[in-house]
Amino acid sequence: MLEMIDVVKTYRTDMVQTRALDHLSLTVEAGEFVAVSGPSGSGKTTFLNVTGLLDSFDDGRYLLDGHDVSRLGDVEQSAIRNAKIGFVFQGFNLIPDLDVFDNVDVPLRYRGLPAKERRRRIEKGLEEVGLAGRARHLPSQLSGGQQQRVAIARALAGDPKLILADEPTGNLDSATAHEIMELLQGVNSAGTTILMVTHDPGCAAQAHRQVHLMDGRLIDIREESLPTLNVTQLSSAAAAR
Amino acid sequence: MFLYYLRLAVKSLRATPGLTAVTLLAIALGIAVPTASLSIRHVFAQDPVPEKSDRLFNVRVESWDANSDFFGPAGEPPKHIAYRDMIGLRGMDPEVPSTGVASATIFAFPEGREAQPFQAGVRLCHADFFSMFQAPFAHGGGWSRDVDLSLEQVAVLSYEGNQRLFGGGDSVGRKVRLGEQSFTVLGVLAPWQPTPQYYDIINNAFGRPRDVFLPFDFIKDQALALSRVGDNDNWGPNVPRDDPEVFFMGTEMTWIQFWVELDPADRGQYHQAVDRYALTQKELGRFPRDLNNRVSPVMEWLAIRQVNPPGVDALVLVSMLFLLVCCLNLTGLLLAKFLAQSGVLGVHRAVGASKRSIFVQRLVECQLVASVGGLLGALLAGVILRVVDWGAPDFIIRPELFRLDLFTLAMAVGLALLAGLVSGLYPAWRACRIAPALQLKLQ
Repeated sequence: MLEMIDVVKTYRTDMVQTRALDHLSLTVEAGEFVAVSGPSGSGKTTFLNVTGLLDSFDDGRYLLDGHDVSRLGDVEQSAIRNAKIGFVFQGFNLIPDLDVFDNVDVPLRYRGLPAKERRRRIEKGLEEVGLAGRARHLPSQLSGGQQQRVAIARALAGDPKLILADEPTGNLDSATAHEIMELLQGVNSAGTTILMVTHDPGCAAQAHRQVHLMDGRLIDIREESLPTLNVTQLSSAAAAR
Repeated sequence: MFLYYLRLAVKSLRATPGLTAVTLLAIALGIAVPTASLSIRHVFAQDPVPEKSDRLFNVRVESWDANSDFFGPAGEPPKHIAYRDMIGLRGMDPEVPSTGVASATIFAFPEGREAQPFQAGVRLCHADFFSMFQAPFAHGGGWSRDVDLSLEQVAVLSYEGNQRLFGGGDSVGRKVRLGEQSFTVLGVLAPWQPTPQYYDIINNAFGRPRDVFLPFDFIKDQALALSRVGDNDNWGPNVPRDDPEVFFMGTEMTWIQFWVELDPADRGQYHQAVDRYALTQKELGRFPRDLNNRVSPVMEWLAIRQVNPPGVDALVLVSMLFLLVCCLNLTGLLLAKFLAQSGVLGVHRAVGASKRSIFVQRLVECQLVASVGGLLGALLAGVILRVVDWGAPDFIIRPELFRLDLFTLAMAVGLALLAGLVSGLYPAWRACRIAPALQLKLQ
């Protein structure tokens, strides 16, 4: 699904030069669930931003879904983000002025889909995350777990091949975090590749593979067996997509 | 996508009501002042008869004394002509449509016992006046050229004069008593107030229309005893007034605005004819100065008379500077708002919005707030114009001259959209330039 070869990213100020990604190479196969962990300042967020085409890099190559996306312009990058990548953030990053329906609608608007198709996808996405009855609620009227579900519905609405999750359970209590992880696993079992940055070893353990970052370098890759999860309802819903 | 951007803009503005109110106020104030001043300038500077302003010419001759200064713009001949020069110019060959224009007053007696006589404004003119200046008749028509000489007792009423004398309606054929004489109404004009009133720019540029139009030579009718009003200049020797014919044909007093209608291509030829007339007068011992005659089309004449005073242009300039200051404030407000919303913009970028999309989105928001602010500004400009209108003396500026009209409204909205664009370009550019990764951290 994605292949990074010797990717280098350096942040520069007048005084200091910090190498956030240091000749990082990583391959993630389609359908994989990969957890990225590491201490603060190890380059996890930079890695995720570069992967999601939200940030540029200085050197190396990046192949996404078989296409070299290393040096694309803003319009092409935006189109790829819209079509192939879904984002789930620690802080949910919902737009506070828009209700749940409209939040999920945002990526579909940029896709230019007709209104009927957008409505179908939004309703389906909200149903999958169990929030069909909250379509006209504002984010502020929802709990943290519900907001993250909306964010997942938004990420899934565009039917992406890759979900990038940055500490998706970081702001949630353990029970809600568990629900969100179940949801993500259901999505993954339906075939969507997931790359998740997390500090939580419990969450990381639920991935197919764990990647450890230290000082911008990949220092450890461990294969994990996928634990059995109660994802029947979610995976069947996701499969129906 | 435009409608979607518009919807996002509405939500964004509603989400920050305080800031939106301040922004709208800044735009409204910034728009109201230049809109009001431009509207005033429009009244002063507009072409009052665009369809034929290049065909109507004000004619002046250099008749002033060689040894005394003329009180007017340097190098210009007197602003009026003398009666005898009007007669001379009207008698030139070939004959062209022409009219003298002057003002007088007389007591008019409305019909009905209760109605009080009033001092009516009289427009003295020739038969060609009505066709030359496209005076619109509601009823009847003007008099023929024969009447200019025969002085048949006929009159044309303005809309206002007809209201005052007869309470409106078709008054053609009715009698109107002016002074001690009775005149038959030949025609009644529809409401007609060219702005400025270019045919009498010296005495009544922006005032109320005169009530009655009479053939010019009634000025010489001693029995009627019209009181001539308006500006006049005289350098010549006193001429006895006992005999009006002797007086008007002898005096050098200039008091008549004289107009002709020409094909613009014939202007030069007509000017030469005027010069030839002047030379004949020199031979008679008049016109001691060098030839300095003028045949000026409407807009040139208005410019010479400075109908649009330089102060108005200065007012427009100052008000535009005020708008510029408001635009700078607006830029600051929008920049602060957009940067504060950079987290939201980051979300849009993450889910597929390009920089261009963000830029357009922000500009749409700027234009929305500018349009609403512009409408508020137009209303405010309307209030300013009402105050100016109310404060202006009625005998110089007719009521309702300055008002919120379509021109003002269109100008306010146009200025607002321009201000929104100018003010919004930089904030929108800054908003779309922030790296999405950084924006998301800010969310």
